[in-house]
This record gives sequence, C-alpha cells and structure tokens, in this order.
Amino acid sequence: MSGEEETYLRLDKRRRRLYLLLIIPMVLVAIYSISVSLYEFSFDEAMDIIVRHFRGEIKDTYKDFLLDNLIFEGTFPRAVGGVLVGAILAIGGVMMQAIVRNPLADSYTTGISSGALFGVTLYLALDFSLLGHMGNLAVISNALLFSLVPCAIMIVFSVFRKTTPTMMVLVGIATMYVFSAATMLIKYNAENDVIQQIYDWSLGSLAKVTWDNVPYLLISFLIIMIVGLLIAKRIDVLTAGDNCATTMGVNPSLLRIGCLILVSVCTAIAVSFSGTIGFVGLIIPHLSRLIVGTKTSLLIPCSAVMGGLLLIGADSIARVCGSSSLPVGVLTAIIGTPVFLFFLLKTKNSSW
Amino acid sequence: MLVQINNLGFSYTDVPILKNINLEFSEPGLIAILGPNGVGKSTLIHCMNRILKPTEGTVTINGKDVQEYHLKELALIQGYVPCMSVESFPMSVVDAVLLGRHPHSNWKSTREDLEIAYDMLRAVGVEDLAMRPFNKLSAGQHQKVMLARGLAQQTEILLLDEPTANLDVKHQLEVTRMLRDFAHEKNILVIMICHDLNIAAKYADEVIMLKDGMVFATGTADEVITDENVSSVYNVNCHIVEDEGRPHVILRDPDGTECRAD
Amino acid sequence: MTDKQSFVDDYIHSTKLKLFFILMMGVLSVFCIFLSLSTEAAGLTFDQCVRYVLDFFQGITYDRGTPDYYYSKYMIDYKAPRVVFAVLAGAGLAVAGVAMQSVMNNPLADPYTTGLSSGACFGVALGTCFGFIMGSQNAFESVVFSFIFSLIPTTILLMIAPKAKISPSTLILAGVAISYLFNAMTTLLLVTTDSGTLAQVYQWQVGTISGIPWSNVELTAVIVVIGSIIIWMLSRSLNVLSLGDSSALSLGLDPEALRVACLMVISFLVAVIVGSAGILGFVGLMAPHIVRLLVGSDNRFVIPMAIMFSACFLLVCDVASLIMSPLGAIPIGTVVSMIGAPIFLLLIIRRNSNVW
Repeated sequence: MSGEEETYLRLDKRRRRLYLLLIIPMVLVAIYSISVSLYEFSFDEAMDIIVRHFRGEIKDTYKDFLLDNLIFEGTFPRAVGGVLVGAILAIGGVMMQAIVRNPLADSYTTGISSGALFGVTLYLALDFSLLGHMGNLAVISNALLFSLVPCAIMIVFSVFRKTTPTMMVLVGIATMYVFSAATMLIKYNAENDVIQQIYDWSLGSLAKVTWDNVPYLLISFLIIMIVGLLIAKRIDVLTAGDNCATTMGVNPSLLRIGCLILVSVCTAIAVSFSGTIGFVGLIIPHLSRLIVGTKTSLLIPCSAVMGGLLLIGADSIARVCGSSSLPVGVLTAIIGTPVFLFFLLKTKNSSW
Repeated sequence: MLVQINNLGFSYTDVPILKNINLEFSEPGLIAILGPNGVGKSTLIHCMNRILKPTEGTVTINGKDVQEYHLKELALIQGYVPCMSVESFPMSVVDAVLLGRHPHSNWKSTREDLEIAYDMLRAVGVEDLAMRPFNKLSAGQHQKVMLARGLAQQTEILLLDEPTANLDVKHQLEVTRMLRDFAHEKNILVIMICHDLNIAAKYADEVIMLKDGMVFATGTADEVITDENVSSVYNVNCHIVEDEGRPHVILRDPDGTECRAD
Repeated sequence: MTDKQSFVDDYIHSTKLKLFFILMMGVLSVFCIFLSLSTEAAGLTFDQCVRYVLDFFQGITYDRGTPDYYYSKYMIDYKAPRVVFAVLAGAGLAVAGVAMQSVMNNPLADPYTTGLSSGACFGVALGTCFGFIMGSQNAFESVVFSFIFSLIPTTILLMIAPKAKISPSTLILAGVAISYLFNAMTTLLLVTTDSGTLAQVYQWQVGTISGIPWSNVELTAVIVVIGSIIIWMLSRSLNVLSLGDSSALSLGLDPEALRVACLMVISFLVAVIVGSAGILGFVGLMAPHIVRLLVGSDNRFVIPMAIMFSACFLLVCDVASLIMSPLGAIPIGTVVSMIGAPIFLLLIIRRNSNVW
C-alpha cells in the first residue's frame, strides 16, 4: 500500500502548489486596480507616486497632491479592502457549505445580508442609530449590529431544537424574509433620494473603504483564516454525516454553532464596510474545489486567494465601464450566475 | 400476452451495459431475474417500460414495439414498481394505492377502485395501515404499500425491482409466494429482480441469470441454479441441495483472493 | 366482506368531509369579500356597500351629482376592482403554489421562493424604465414583459426538476440566488433611472392592490380563471407525479410534458399578478400547507380549498392594511410578508426533519 500512499501525498503537494500560483495574479490585479480610477492617470504614474510617497518625495504641485490623495486615500485602501473582503466572503462560503452540507449555501445564508440592510435602512430612513452615531459610522455600526441578529436567532433556536443543516438553512432563509419585509415597510414611506441611497448600499461597493476600516478587515480576515485552518480537520469530519462525526469525537451541533458565529461575525464586519456583495461566497468554494479538491485545509487558503482575486477584478472592471461606477454587486451577480448555474446543474449526487 | 425482447442492447454513451439480450415470455407466471450488482437487471427492466430507450434491438408487447405504444395504453398492460421512491407530501396509504388506478379511472375514484385498493392492501398484509400517512411507515411497510399500488394497476405484466429488499425473512417468503399465486390465478406475468437465490429458487416458475450484460442461462429453477452457474456468475462457491423439488443453495466461503486486511 | 365495505364507506365519508370543508371555506370567502368591500369605504356602512354593489348588478344607475352617484362610483370604480383583484391574486398565487410544489416535488416551492416572481418583477421594471409601460395603463405590455423574463427562472427550474434527489433546501437556495440576481439587475435599473420612475417602480414592486384599473382586473380574471381550471383538471396527474418520474411514467404520464405545461401556466399566472400588483410573497407557499392540514394532499381538493383560503387571506390582509394605515402607508405586500414570513418559520419548526 505504501506506493499508493506516496502517490496520494504527492498529489496533495501538487495541489497545494497549484493555488499558490494564483496569489501572483491576485497581487497583480490588485496593484493594477490601484491605477483604475475615474480620473485619468496611467499605471506608471501610479507606481511612481507610490514609490515617491514612501520615500517622502511628494512635491507640492497640484497634480502630485491630487494623485497622492486619490491613490492613498482612495484606490490603495480600496484595493487592500477589496482583497480582504473577497477573502472573508469566500472563506465564509467554504465553511457554510461544509457545515450545512449544501452546495448552495454561502455566508449570507444565515440571514446576515438582510439584517444588515435592515439596519442601514433604519438609519437612512428613520435616523435611528443603535449606538447613537452619525453619518457613515452610523451606517456601519447599524449594519454590523443588525446583521448579527439572525445569528443570535439561530443560537436561540439551537437551544430548543437540534441544529440540523436543513434547519439552519431554513431558519436563515425565514429570518431573511422577515427582515426583508420589515425593510420594505420602512422603505415604502421613505423619500426618493433615501430610497436611492438604500438601493446603492444594497448592491455593495468598495468605494467607501478607507484606511481606518482596513485594520478591522485585516483582523477579521486573520481570525477567520487562522481559526478556519485550525478546525479544518473537524469540518472535514462533519461532511461524513452527524452520526459518523459523533463517533469520531466531533460534536456536530457545537461545531456548527461555533462556525456560524465565526462566519457571521467576520462576514458582518466585512459587509458593514462594503455592503452585501453577493455570489462571491457561493461560487468561489466550487471553483476552488476544482483546483485543490475537497480538503478544507486546502480549500480555505485557496478560496481566500480566489475570492480576493474575483472581488478586486470585478471591482476594477466595474470602475472601468460605466461613467458612474457600476456597482460591484451587479457585476459579481452577472459573472457569478452562469458559474452558479453550471454547478447547480452538475449536482448529481444525493448527498445534497 | 406475448413479450419479446429481440437483440436488446443498451449503453450509456460508450459504456455498454446490456448486449444481445433475447428473451421471450408467453405464459403467465413468476419470473426471477438474478445476477450480480451492476450487471444490468434494472437497466433491462427500464428498457421494457420506457424509462430508457434501448440503443439496439426492440422490446415488443403483443407484437407492438413498446416505444410505439401510447403511454396510457402501455400503462393498462404493463405496471412497474421501483425499488425506491421519492415522496414528500403526506398522503394516506389508501390514496397512495389508489394512484395505481390512475390509468383506469376518470375523475373520481369509484367504489370499485376502493374495493380493489382494499383487496391489494389485504393481499400484502397492510390493510390496517390504510389511513396512516404514507411517509411515516417503516421501510418494509412502505415497500409493501408500493407493491399494493403496482398490483392495483391490474395489468397483464408487472415489473418489480427488488420488491422484497426491505422485508424480513417471513415477509419475503409471504410476499413472494403471494406474487406467484397472483400470477397463476390472475394470469399475470410477474417479472421480478431478485437478490436472494433461495427465494427465487423456491417460488419462481422461470429463472433468468445475467452475466456481463448478457443472458447467461434461462430455464426452470433447478436447470439454472446449479453450482457451476452460481460459481461462474457470482464468483461464489456453493453446494446445491434439493428440497421439496426445488434447489436450495448452501453457500461456501468466497475465494480467498479478494480481500485482505493488512 | 363487511371489513371491506366499512373501509369503503369510511373513505367515502372522509371525502364528503373534505367537500364540506370546501363548502365552508366558500362561505367564509363570500363573507371576507363583503368585509373587505365595507372597510374604510368612505364612511359607508356594511349594508350600504352591499346595496350599491347589488344595485350595480341589477343595472340601477343614479343621476349625476347625487351623493348616491358618487358613492356608487366610489364602490364600483375604486373599491370593487381592488377586492376583485385581491380574490384573483389570491386564487392565482395559490394555484401557482400548489402546482409548483407538485411539479418540483418540493414542499417549499412557490413562485416567490424559487425566484419566479423576481424574474417577472425585473421584466416589468425593465419595461417601465424603457418607457414601454407607464404606470398601470399598459396591462398587456406588463404581462408580456413579466412573462418573458419569468421564463428564465422557469427554464432553470425545468433543468433541475428531474434531479429527484435535490432536497427542498437546495431548491430554495437556488431560488435565493436567482432572486438575488434579478433584484440586483432591477436595482441597477432603478438607480440609473430618474427618481420619479424609481419611486413609481418601487411602490409597485412592494406589492399593492390600490389603484388597479378595471382593464387590468379583467385581463387578470381571464388568465387566472383559465389557468386555475387547467391546473385543476391536471390535479390527478399532479398527484401521480408525486410518486417520482419513473412511477409516473409507468402509470401512463409524461412527466416532462406535464412539467413544462404546468410551469408555462404558472409563469402566466405569476406574470399577470406581478405585472399589476408587484410581489406578493408567501401566499402560494402557505396556503397549500395550511389547507393540506384540513383536506389532505389530494390536489383535487387542495386546489379549490387553497384558492379560497388565499383569497380570504389576501382580503384579510387588505382589511388589516387599511385599518392600520387608512392612507395606504402600509401596502398589502408588506402585511402579507410580515404575516407570511413568521408562518413560514413556524412551518419549518413544526415539521419533522424527515419530511424535508
């Protein structure tokens, strides 16, 4: 048998190397995206400014100042934020699909997206901010806190009922509908420009990501990545079925709730800065599986890279076309749908 | 009734499952189809009832190709009970059996339909479950109800895919004997896929053994179920003993080459 | 012999019971119709409303300028179409829900949860933003646009339906993704158009039955009545479909053809209702489930019962929304969702996990 063992280990290493290759395009696209903007400047100029900024050689001219500002307050944090948000959403998708045993789950299946939208609508339409903030901070804090409500509901549920995967999905969806209904009610009586703002937010955009936000995103990303890798083996065991998992020493309900909290908190943080950008968490895990197979410890880093790549790529494309930037959420939906359909129709096995 | 299978072949894309199947059934009775897993028993049945279209050859019933029958016409002549079914709505057992009357009746279920349904439920022994919800039964009870549904269709030909798979020994014997008696009394051709050599040997009028997608042997039970045939088709050694005029298979340990635990 | 006779008698008795329930539901529906007609009806009392409606049917007209004339006009041109449309919408969505649950063999299927309504909605939004549809004046164009775009989710559903092992939650998640796509595209349309059109589309989208002119109601009536009759006549076949495709085939049914036919009818029903009233979610999901508790799963009974139940439900929601907000601040779509979503949640909790 040792010959087969060797082959298995070799395959494993090869797969690992495969996704590492993807880091290169991701970084390249991210760097390229720094130079994409409404205002015309070229890639070389962007690189020049960056280098000079770090050397402290920014001149006092209008052009230098403008470019410096645009890049360092605009596109650079946007690029970093985009990569981080994409990674968080993708990892969330991997974990949710595993614990719910359904190929169509993603981090929003818990109801986060509608909770966040509700919070944002509350502020924009009714000026109600849970923590008493104002302006953009209110939007962010409301989005964050309300997006955690569905997670809390799920936890309460788990006290009364065993958390089966189906139960989680359905409760998440039901919560989503309840919040959508409440949001609709508030929106109906709001003024037109408020409605427009709410719609804008719901489509998701990386435009408002600033350097202040990046540390939070970075921490969320690190948490979800590291914890995810630590419990990756247990998540793998979970896919064998609850009964099997129990005999292998894993408590399925506890693991599910734990992952739910982890994914909810980290995704909520990401969503509160960027709005609900859909399809990333849904399709990236499937694409990753094609490259690295089904081991969660490989899927998580691969998805992180691919998620970052997809989001920053979509964002760059969105900025390039359309005179007012096309919302990223629409682009991910358009790219994501054919991919999603492809995977949906490929589903043959009864495990789903 | 006359069922002829002429040069039947079926392949999924390039993988041939069935080749050169030639069979003819002209007498009512209980026919058992035996063979190892994956040999194509279900595929053969599916080619007979239009779930699959054969890639070569034809299946004719009473002289007409099965593919040319109108679906409703065919449903009056040939019934089918799958080995597993999918239901998600709570319906009562009686309603599930009444569905078998669909090709016959019009809008309402007549008194006659109800009486037939009751008779079939009694024949399989589950008439006391009649008003229970169908999806709350045990696997064995479920299977019996599905069989009752197939019988309620009252067709000349009945195709059954492992009808006793989930039943305990006593019920396996009872159901198979009931099927044989039904076949003789009502002049029905019952073709069933079976995994249990002994049950097939005990009750079947004719036995067909498939190997590698082709007909390996046909005939009566003692003609077909011999130690050479069993060893050739199943790769298992056995000893045949005669009991009440029928062969009985006593199994030996399988060949030592397949599994090892190191 | 007596066992068999008592069995048959028991069964016939239970059938009669189901018919009785349906009759009772019918009576309740008539009551709800009149309740809805007389709520917030410009200060008219119940019998005054009834009088005006009956007078209209008897052909009695009033002289111009009299209070009677204006009251009658109010009842017939404003109140009545609203009530009639609520009944039709309830009926159409219920039929669509029952049919969809049978065809997809999935207890959670309905036009809303599978993304069909979102597709239809996008169609209308597209038509409005490009000027083909102006408010509620172009009923026919609305239906055309919403039908064409509801075909996209329909096609997707047709492609995944035969995969019998797809669990209910997978279907719903697919519906969520499809809805997200169409909502995103609708939102894109809305944010790029002027705020007047945006408000107009938004207020239609959320689900409202006020201000629907008779021409729309007539078109809806034709489609809903014909669609309901077709589906009801197919109800025996739909029953058989629940056994699975291979069993259905052996019982003389062509499952693919049946599915296509039903989904076409469902798309029409959804298109005409969404085109006039926006998205009324959950009605098609809840009504069949609640009705099945009373009359079992036989579609021959479920369909008429669900039609009447949904009609009553929408009428009651209309009454509720009028009482809570006489000026229309709470549209009926919101009331339906706010009642429907918790009921959906309840259905999930109550259900045995085996069933899903």
